Amino acid sequence: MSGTRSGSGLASIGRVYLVFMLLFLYVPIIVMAAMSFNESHLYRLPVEWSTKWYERLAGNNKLLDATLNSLLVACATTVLATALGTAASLAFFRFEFRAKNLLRILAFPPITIPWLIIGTAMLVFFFWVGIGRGLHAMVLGHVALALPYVIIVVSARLSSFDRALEEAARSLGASAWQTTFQVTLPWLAPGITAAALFAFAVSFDQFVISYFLAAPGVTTLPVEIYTSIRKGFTPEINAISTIVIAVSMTLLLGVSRFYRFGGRS
Amino acid sequence: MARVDVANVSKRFGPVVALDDVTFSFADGRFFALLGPSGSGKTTLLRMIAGFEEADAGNVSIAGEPVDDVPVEKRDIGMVFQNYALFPNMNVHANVAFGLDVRGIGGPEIKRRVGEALELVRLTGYDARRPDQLSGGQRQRVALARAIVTQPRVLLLDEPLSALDRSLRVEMEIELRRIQRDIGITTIFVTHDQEEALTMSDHIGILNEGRLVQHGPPLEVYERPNSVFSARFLGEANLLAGEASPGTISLDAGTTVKATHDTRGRAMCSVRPEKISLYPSGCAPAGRNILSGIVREHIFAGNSLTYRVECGGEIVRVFAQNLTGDVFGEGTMVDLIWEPKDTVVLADV
Amino acid sequence: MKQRTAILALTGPAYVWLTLTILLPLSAMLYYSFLSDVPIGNRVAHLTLENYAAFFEKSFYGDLMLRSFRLGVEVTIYCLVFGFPCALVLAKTIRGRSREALFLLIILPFWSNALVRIFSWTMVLRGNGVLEHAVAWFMPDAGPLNLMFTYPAIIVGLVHSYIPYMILTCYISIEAIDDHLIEAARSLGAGRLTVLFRLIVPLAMPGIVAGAVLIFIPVIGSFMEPRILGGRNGTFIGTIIEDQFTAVFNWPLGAALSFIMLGFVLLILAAMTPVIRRVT
Repeated sequence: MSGTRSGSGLASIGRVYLVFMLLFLYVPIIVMAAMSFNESHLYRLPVEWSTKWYERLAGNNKLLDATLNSLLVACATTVLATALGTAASLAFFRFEFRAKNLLRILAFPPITIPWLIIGTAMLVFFFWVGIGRGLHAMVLGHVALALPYVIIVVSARLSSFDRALEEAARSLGASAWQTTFQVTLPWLAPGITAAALFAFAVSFDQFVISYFLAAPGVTTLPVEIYTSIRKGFTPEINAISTIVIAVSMTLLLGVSRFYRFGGRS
Repeated sequence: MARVDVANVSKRFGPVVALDDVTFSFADGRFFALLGPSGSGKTTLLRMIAGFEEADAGNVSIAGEPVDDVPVEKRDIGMVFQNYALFPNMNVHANVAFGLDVRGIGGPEIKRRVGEALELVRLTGYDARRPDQLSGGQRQRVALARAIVTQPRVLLLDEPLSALDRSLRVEMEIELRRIQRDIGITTIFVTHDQEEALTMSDHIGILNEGRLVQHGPPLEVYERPNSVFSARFLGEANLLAGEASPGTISLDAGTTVKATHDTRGRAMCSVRPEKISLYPSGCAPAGRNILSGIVREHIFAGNSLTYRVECGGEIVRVFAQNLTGDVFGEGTMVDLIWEPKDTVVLADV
Repeated sequence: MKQRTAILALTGPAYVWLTLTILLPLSAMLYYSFLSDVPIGNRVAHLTLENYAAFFEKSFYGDLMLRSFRLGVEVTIYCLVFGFPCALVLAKTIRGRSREALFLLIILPFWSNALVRIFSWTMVLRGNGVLEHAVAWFMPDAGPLNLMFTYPAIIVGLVHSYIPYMILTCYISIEAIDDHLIEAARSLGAGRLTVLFRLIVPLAMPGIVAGAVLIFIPVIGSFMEPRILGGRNGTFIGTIIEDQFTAVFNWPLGAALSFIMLGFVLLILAAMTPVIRRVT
């Protein structure tokens, strides 16, 4: 509590600053949403209200297919990365072994190496061994990128887990597997939910890896958007982006009712 | 060194009244204990003197000057926190030197004064240790050295001993008292532990629900509680209801006893369990207050005994020294005897 | 033995996956960086050092590497300077439900597409765009800003994309600082600035370092943001590498440049290791 007399002035400056920061963060998003309703395809100002870009979007199979692909890849990535990452975190938490620290460090290259390098390396390797490009290759890549996030988030939750709970369960006659599934995992649920959200976001938002691994004609939304930006942008992209942002924000707000992001949980 | 005055201070946190019109003078150089249950407002009062909380009404002054508009860092106070709040990014020396450093005091003098402060708390040579390398008692001492090294006008202690285990706590009580006497600093100590308050302070203030219920020297507050709350909170008390007239009180338990008061009507009186002696029924010496009862339970603790005696439907607790090795068994008829001056008639019913 | 089986069963899948998608590809790329040509079809490739030599022979590549490095440093610094106060206000001034709501608002843009956010800036920054209209509203005589396709435009877009990382990591470490420490410092006579620089910043260092790493590394390899916002001014080492893979089809040179960049990144991380070790 620092709400003393001398601090209240500073505190209000802080609040004003926060408002400016939010403005900075949201201006592009608001502009994009506004432009998606703008009649002019040259983004002429002031905005003339129109829903024509949304109507055009309904007929744009390329964009819709790309969106569907993005969702498919993101869902597959979420399931795989969350399962693999949670299992590894459990092993790190439960057991002491010599290679533990080494393994932990080895999970981090996807974060500590620029995506550009990872993406091009995957392109070279997948091409070489015959995996090739396409949605399956993207899932391979996205899971690798999401794994460190899952491990970090789940481990953080595990670190505040009271081992006595597991011991209590064992002393009451539960087997190791029963303990894991009935005590440890339910306690971990908020961490796993957060990790899954991260994995989904990493994949759905991922452009660089997808860009190098996209097969001609089979793209994800970010790749499709990039291609059309470079070719000459159409406002239908504003429309689909606005929908995507609206949906993801609603989802996140919904999830936040069950999981506290702000504090130490 | 300075006196601290709080005048008519009140503070609310939303619907909760933390302090309700509290007025008190903390005299220069004395050791004060603010005692009360959690939520009684004692910590709020301390934090208000420190400057962390702002009073809704009333004033705080240090050395006669109002400090209501003075920020914490300009009040020249020393404070020890419940969890010690040692800076984890600094070693012992840097922690203790911090207050001198921010005051712009130079190198050689810092070194000398930190050395003196660490010597005072008996931690000479611990300069380079980090807080996480210290035991609880050592952290406590560093926190104390850090608070007094700047020679503040007031030392504020927020339940500083509550995180220590019992034997260490007793040791630190003595140590804290010694240091306070050595440097003669006005000290305000917040605690919920009555024993700590009694052993350490020159003056106790008891708070309940934001009000200062009673204050005075420890012996006086203990011997003459002025309310049911004081009597119960500080030490143990048998509370007996009855009908009072000046000089006597006719107890519901069945006898009339003498007391030193001049009130009339329904009243409650307090008798401390250690003031009562037990005699076999009919053998009690005359001239003192007497109450008959049946022993319902005795708890043997080696050097002492606690009896629970039923007197006219009420249970009275009695502490007895184990002088003879004889014990009144359960079901024994006994007489309870105590001095009229130990019958304290309380203000509230 | 039983424990060993459990460890293998739990960690095995994740690490087989990482081997297949990170370790082997990087090894393959390292091999390619020493080839004279892409070994596809009946093209004949032999081992050579000329791809690496190219970097040192033409100052062009070195200059671009430095330019990317500078971009990374600048973006990281801006994110720190603007993001840290934001995290501080959020963690220490605002309480209760409004803090949770604001925190959510700050990380929400994370869940919108990075590419789309970058493109939105073109609508804001372009000539006759939103920003110029806004400026003209306040200062009618200001004239056109011509921010689009400039270096500052790239900075703005990248800071916008990456600042939530810094806010997040700083917030987590500032939030963990016990309020009593701050009160203790103030009771010892420290003013607010002293508390900030002697206590909060050192204690938040793990968050600052984590944020800096999370921002610096992707920015140094960025190519999409400079292309969209920088136009002709958007040539960096990242865009050159991308060209080798997608346009020029000179994979060996692209691979060599990638590894030189990776070497730079690792050098910087190594140089920062003492700092990282001290704070963790």
